[in-house]
Amino acid sequence: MTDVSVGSEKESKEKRESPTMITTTRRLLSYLMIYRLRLTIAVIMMIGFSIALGMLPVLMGMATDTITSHGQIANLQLVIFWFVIDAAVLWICGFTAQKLLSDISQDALKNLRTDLFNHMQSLSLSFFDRQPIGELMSRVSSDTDVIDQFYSNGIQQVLQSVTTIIVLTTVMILLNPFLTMLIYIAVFGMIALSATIARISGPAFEKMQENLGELNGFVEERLYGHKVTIAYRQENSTSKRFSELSEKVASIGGKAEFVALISMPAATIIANLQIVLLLIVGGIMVIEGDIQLGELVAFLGLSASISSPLSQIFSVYELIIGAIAGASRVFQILDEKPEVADRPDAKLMPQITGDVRFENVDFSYIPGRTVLRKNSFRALPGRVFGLCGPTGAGKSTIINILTRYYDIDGGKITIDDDNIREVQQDSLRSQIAQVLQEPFLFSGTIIENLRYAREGATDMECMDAARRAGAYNFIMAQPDGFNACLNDGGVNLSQGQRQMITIARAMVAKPRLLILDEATSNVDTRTEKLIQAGLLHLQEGKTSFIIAHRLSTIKHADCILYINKGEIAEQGTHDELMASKGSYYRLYMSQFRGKVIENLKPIG
Amino acid sequence: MQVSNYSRLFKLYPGERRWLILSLGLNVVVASATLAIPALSAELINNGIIAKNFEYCTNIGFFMLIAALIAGICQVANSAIAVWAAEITSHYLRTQLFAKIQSLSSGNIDRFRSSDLQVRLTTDAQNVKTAMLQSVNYLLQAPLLLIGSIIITHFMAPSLTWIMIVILLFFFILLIIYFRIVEPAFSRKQQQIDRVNKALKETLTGIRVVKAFVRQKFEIAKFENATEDLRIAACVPQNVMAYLIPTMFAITILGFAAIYYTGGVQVLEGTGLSIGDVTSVAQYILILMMPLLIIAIVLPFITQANSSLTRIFEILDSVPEISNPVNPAQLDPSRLKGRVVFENVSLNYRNARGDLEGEVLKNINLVAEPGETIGLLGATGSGKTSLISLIPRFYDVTRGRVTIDGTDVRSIPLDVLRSIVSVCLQESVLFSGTIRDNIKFGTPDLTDDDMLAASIAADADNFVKNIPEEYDGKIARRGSNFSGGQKQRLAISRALAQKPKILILDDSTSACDVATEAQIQDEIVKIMATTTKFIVAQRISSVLTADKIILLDNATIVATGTHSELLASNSLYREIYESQLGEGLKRGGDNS
Repeated sequence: MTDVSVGSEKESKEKRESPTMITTTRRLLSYLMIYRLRLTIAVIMMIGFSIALGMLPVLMGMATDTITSHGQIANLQLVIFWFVIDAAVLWICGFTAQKLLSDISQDALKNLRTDLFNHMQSLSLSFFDRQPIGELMSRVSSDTDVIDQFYSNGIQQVLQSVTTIIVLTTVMILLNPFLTMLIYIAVFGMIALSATIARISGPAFEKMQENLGELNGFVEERLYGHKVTIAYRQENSTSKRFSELSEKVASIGGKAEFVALISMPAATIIANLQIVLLLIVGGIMVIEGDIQLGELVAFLGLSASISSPLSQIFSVYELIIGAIAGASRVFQILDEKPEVADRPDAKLMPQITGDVRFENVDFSYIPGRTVLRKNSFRALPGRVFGLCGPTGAGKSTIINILTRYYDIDGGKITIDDDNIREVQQDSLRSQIAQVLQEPFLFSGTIIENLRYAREGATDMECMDAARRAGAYNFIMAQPDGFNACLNDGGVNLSQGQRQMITIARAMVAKPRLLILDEATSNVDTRTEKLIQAGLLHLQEGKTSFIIAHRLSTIKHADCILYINKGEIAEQGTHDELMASKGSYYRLYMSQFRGKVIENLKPIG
Repeated sequence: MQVSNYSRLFKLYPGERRWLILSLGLNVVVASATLAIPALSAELINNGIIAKNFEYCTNIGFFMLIAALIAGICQVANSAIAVWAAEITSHYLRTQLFAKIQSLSSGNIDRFRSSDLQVRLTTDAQNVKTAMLQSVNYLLQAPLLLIGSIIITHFMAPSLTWIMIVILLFFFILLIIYFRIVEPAFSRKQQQIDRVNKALKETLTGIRVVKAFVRQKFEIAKFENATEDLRIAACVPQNVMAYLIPTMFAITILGFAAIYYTGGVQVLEGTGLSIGDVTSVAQYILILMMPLLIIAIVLPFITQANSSLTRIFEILDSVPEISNPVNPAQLDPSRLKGRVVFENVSLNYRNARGDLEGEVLKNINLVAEPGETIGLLGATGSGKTSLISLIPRFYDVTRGRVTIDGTDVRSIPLDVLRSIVSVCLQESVLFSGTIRDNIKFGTPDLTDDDMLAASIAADADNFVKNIPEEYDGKIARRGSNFSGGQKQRLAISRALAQKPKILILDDSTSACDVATEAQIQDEIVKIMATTTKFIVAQRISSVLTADKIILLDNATIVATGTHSELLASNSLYREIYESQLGEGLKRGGDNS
């Protein structure tokens, strides 16, 4: 089994390195390709738009010639009529193309977001262990942001620029190949310039971002630790450090901004150079009688129109590079395979009675670093199991593998003689309720949070659970009672109150197996008493696993496991373990620090 | 409001003003040169090409090139000024702001919230920079180009002026539509993006719960709703832009048509207008578009920067609640004994508006003799942390007074006070840097031997020794590469390194196991025999050996005494003791 998981890790690593820009781009575009018909129409319309744009200078040339040849006003009117037709075609084509493209891009983006979310839901916890949620979140949101930019602006700009360049170049060559060449000399100058500036400013901006990141990190840390700074009188030294960092940001940022700003005036100079060149060379041709003045005017217009799509392609280029980088990270997540997967023939877990057996269970989060070694124990239906031991000994791990958040490396775990690897994860988990150290609630009303445990639970069931968990009174004291909104996961409630709601939620689930992982370690004694009462109700008749820091919490368990370094070191009731004077005894006694043990006697 | 923010910014502008004046001049030159080019091209066509004067063509062409070069070079110079002015201004604002925040007291910080302060220091300062950069760089050119093209048209071809004005009007209408509809629609889209991100964050944070209750499908449906709303919101600005941009092009084409027709008829009728004038007026239409584009780009930055400035000035104007005494007491810190007395102390915090909230401490009286260990016990919210916060003056008393060796803490200079009082906070905060830097944070001149002694006493040396770089080992941001217990032990080392007269440990061994905690406490008692020690705790085992245990409940002291005294006399204490170290969880008659 270990081999398989190592293999899959290797495989996914390879996959992470291999996708080329082309495959990523193709995959990114595939989200748009679904809307083939609309996309085709949009492209056709975009070509129409470009033709209308290209015809404008030609019409201006025609108008010039009509005027200079001292023709009839009626002839001029005809040319003007074509101007109006051109404007109409341009508007209709331009509008249709943009509207279609913006709709397609938003549809595609929605599909991508949904795919990503759905896939993340299906991933195993090991995925989320590898990267802090905050980091993952900011990555996903900034990556979808650049993809949004790419879909809603990039695609359209690329299409428009490319069609415009093709159409304008064709028109120019048809009119006069020599002047076309002249224009293209300037065009290449502009391309070289933009490329040079992009090559300098790109890394400069990256460096600025890096420095800005450093500054932000410093600020976050020092704001968070403001009390420490003032307690140790380091206000001035801290301000000085900040000033240094800020100055670095300013000087490096200034360079980056400046280089980027040069591109605009530089491009204008080249564009003007091009106009002057055209006017002089074209002027001579007109004087010599080689071409009409109108043709020169048309070329002036064409040369002005071709420089903007060219510079646009350059601005889009960076957008595209950014989007591909973002997309490759998004696809990496989409390609991630859930490590814990149901077998194809997995059956539904029958109703659990609660006979849990660990047989020689080995487990490691990272291959090669064993966390649990040859663990065996049995928990009988309806009994309470306490787990204790030093931090990092593997207590929570036992819970993680019992609920199959992770698969084990060796041995087997059975519940009522069903190997949990052979049943569907969902059918297993829906029968196990967990109350964790940090109560987690969703934003929404209290009743929605309670019903979260089981779809279709009635209001009565939820309220009844709240009553038994001891939460009813404070819930009713809320302005809207059970319909009170919990903002940001219930910051308006105390930790103890939130924990009571999670206990009620666990009751609504009607679980067959119960896990309490340090459920009361973050609350004070009085609140703990209230919570304990609720927990006792929750435990009724169920096999329960209780992890505790405070030994008094598990003293009355039917069986206590003392876990050390991934192994079950001691096993038995409190009295048995105390009598054997082993590690459990020492841990228990250390709470009293030896000295006052005499005072304990009358109570213990 | 807007004007006053900017005039204030201008007043505190840290650079030399003459550069800004130079920038004004440069803008005028750039605009003039830009405007000259079409006029010169008209000249070239009229008197060069049509008059078949080859030499005149090259001469005018040469002038056009000169004009283009002048415009370009002046624009680059102006960009340099803009970048420089913007960067020094944002740097200045940031450092002023940061220094101000450092001088504020905890009360101020609580009200501003640190995440909010972070935004002001980074995003807001950056917003001001961008707005300033864009404004200095382009903004002034907008009116110059606009008025200039109309005036030149008026002189060159007076009959075409009205067409220019009509086109300008249409462009203005488009601009107004953009600001009225597209901009707000984009911000609505941003709101929806935030909503989607929030939904995503919530689900990912609670992924364990989602999986535990098998509610993936429900979450997916919920998310799908949010993305659909986002899709709809995102389509609005895009669709409006799909109208606006082709319309702008169409107006330009129709403008050309009007100019060629009106101008053309006049040329044909021989009213003195020539074809070169007509083509160059057409070019002025394109120049007319530039100011509007500049406004469309720069204006949003300016409005954004205005609200950023409001937020920045709000901090700069705030007054620290706690500052150095006006008439400081004359003390010799080395001769202080560390006798701490609370006399009838009451404390109320202030809310965001600065009004007093309910009392968190009521009539506290307590005496801590030099060298004593005082244990503070009580439920969450009973006032333990508030009580000890008064000693180093994180907050000031509302009524009563706190004294050290008879001197009110409010008349001891802050530097002196905080060098004799060391506090270890509930949440152990470490800064990125080396372990050594962190332990020596308050005492940069400390010898390595003294540092080691502090580290050993706090039981930190044990794990630091195992790091390859030992005390030069790196601490990551927020100390994330250390466990809770390790961070706490480093924070205690830092506090001990100061060799304080008064040491406060605010639940600062909570992440250590009981045995380690006992060891640390014993060690502290041994090496800091003359230091007055306050130990705040949730766990009763943390204070069992204190000389005096103070039991707080609902903002008042309910009992004081040693462990055995309290166990015998106080029912609340007995209750806590029993629940933590006594019987604990009982099952309904199941077994025992």
